[in-house]
Amino acid sequence: MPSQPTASVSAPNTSLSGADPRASAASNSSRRRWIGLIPLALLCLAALASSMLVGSRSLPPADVVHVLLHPDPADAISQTVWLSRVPRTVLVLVAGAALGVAGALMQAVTRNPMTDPGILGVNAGASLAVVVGLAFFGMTDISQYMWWSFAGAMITSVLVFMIGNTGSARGNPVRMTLSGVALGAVLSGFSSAVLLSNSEVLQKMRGWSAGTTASQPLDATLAIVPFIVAGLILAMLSSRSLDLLSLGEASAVAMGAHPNRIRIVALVAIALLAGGATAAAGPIGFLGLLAPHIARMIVGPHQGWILAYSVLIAPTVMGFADVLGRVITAGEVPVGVVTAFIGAPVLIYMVRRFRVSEV
Amino acid sequence: MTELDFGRRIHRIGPHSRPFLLVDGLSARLCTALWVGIVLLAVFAVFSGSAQISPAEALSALVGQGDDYTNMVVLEWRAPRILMAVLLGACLAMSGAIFQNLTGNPLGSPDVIGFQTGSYTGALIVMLLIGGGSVETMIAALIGGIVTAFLVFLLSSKQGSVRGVRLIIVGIGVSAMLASVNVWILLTATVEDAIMASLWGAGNLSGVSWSTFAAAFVGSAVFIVAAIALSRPMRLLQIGTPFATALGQNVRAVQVSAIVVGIGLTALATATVGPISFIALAAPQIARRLVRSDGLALGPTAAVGALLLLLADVVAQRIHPDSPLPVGIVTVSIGGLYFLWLLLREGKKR
Repeated sequence: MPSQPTASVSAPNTSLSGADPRASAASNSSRRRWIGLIPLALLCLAALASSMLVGSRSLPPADVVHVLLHPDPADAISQTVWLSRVPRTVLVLVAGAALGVAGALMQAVTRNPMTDPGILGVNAGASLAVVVGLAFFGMTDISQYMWWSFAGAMITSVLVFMIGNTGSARGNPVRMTLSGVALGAVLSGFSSAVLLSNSEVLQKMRGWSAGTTASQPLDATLAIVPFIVAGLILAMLSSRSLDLLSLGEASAVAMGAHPNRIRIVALVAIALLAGGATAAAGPIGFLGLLAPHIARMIVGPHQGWILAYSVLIAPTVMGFADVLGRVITAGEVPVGVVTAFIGAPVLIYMVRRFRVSEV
Repeated sequence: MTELDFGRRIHRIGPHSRPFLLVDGLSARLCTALWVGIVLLAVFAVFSGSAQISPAEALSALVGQGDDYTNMVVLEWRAPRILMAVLLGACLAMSGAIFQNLTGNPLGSPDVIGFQTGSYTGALIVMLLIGGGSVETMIAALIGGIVTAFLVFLLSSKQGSVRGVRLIIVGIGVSAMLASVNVWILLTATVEDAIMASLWGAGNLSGVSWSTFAAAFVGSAVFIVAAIALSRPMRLLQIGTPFATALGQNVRAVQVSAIVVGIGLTALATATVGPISFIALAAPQIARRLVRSDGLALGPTAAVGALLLLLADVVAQRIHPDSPLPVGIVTVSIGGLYFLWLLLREGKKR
C-alpha cells in the first residue's frame, strides 16, 4: 500500500516529523493487524461450526440451522443439537478464550515464555478446590463449586508468584517454573488422596479431570460467562501496563507504572479466567501456552494484540481439538488429551529452537 | 602432617600417597546418625501397626517363637515392607542425585522429567487394556520408564549435547502428554479397575512380599554398586566438561553410564511399587544441605532417601488406620512442601 505513508507524512503534526516514518509504520502494521483478525475470525467460526456439525453422528448443516431456529423437543436432531452440540460449542468458545488469554497474561506477568496455567499449577489448584468442594461440602452444581475453583486458582497463582518471585532471584523463569511444577504436584497429590478415598467423587470427577467439553449442560457454561467476560475486560485494560512491565521492573517504574499493582490486576484476571474455565471444562493444559505463542509470531511483542489474537486462536485450536477427539476413535478422546498431544510437541519444539538462556 | 584443612576433616584409608578411600568426617557422622534413625524407625514400624500385636509377641516372632498369626503379620507383612521402603528409598534418592548432578539442576530429577509417568503408562496399558498379572505389569512399567527416558533424552539432545534446562522442559512436556494418556486410559476402564490402577499409580508399598523384595534387591544391587563406582568420576565431571576432559576423563562414557544407572535405579523402583515421587527430587537436596557440600554425596543421599520413604510409609499407614493412603501421596505432600519451603528460603536469603 504505497499511498499509506504519504497520507501520514501530510499529517498536521509537524513537530514530530522525525518520528513520522515510525508512526506511519506503526499505523500501517496496526492496520495489518486489524486485517489479520479477519481470517482468524473466519477460522474460529469454522472451528465452532465443525463443532456443531461433526460428532459421533454427523448432521447436515441445513438441519442444524433449521433446528437452531426452530427448537423442537420431540425431534431427535433438535435434541442432539440443543443438548449436546450447542453446550459443547459454547464451552469451547468460552473456555478456549479464557485459557488463551490467561496463558498470555501469565507469560507477560512472569516474563517467561514457557508458562501457562497448567504448567504453573493453577489448574491443579482449581481442581483441588473443586474436588474438596465436591467431597467434603456436598456440592453438586457448578454455580456452587465455581467459587471454589476461582478461589483455588487465585490462591495458587498468588502462591506460585510469591514463591517464584522472592528475593533477588526475582523474575527468574526457571525458578518460577520450578515452584509451579512443585506446587502443582503437591496439589494434585492432595486431590488424588481425596479421590482415592472417595469412590463416589472419583466417579463424578473422572470425566472432568481429563478436561472435557462433554460434561456440562448449557446453563452451567452460561453461569461462568460473566466472570470470564470480566476477566477478559480486565486483561484488555491491563495490556498497556503489561507492555511497560515487559521492559523490565526498573524501566517500568521509571515510566510511571506500578509493577505490583499491574501484577495484582493480572493475577485477579488470571484467577477469573483459569478458574472459570477449569470449573466448567476441567483442567485443560497447553492451550494457554500455545495460543499466545502463535499470536506473538503473527503480531510481535505487543500485549494488546497478543491478547486479542489469543481470544480467537485458543477457541480455534480447542474447537478443532475437540472435533478431532470426537472422531478419532470409536469412543471419545477428551479434549484435554488432544490439546496435550498438540501442545507438548510445540513446547518441545520451542525449547529446542530457542537458546537455553532464553528459556 | 602437611594436610590441607578446608574446615572439614577428611579421613584417609589406605596407603598415604595414594589412598583408595577418602572419608569426609561430617558426611560419615551424618550417615551414621541417619542409619541409626532408620533402624529406630524400622524397629518402631515392626513393633506397631493396625494389627493388635504387642511388642512382646512381635519380639517372639522375630526370634522365631511366635504363633502363626504373629509370624505372618510381623515376618511376612511388616518386615519385607520395611526393608523394601529402605531399599527403594535409597535407590530413588541415588537416581535423583545422579540426574541432578548431570543436569546441574534440582528439577532434573527422574520424577519431574517424566520417567515415572512413562512407567505408569506402561503399567496401565497392561493392567487395563491388555490385561495381565503383577509380573507383566512390572515388566511393562520397566519398559515404559526406560522408553520414556530415552525419548526424553533423544528429544532434548541437540548436536549430541544434552543441556539441563532443555532436558527438564522437554521432560515436563513429555510427562504432561503421558499424564493425559494415563487419565484417558483410566477413563475407559470401569470405576473399580480405575481405583485399583490409581492405587498402583499413587505408589504403594502394601502387598510387598519377600519374593518381590528379593527380586528388587538383586536387581538394584547391580545398579547401586555401579553408582558407587561412578561417584568419583562424576564429582570430577562436576567441575566442568573441559576440565574433566583435560584431566584425562572419558566424559562421554561417564555420562552415558551415569544415565543408564540413573534410569535403571528409578525404573526398577517404579516397576516394583509404582511411581513414588519427590524422594528423588528432595533427598539429594536435603542431603546436600545437611553435609554442607555442593557435590555429589551419594552415601548421605541414599540414607536420607531411605529414611524419607520409610517415614512416609509409616505415616501413610497410620494417618487413616481404616483406609491407609498410598505412600506416594505422603511423599509428594511432605517432599513437595519441603521443596517449596526450600525455594522460598533460598529466595529470601540471596
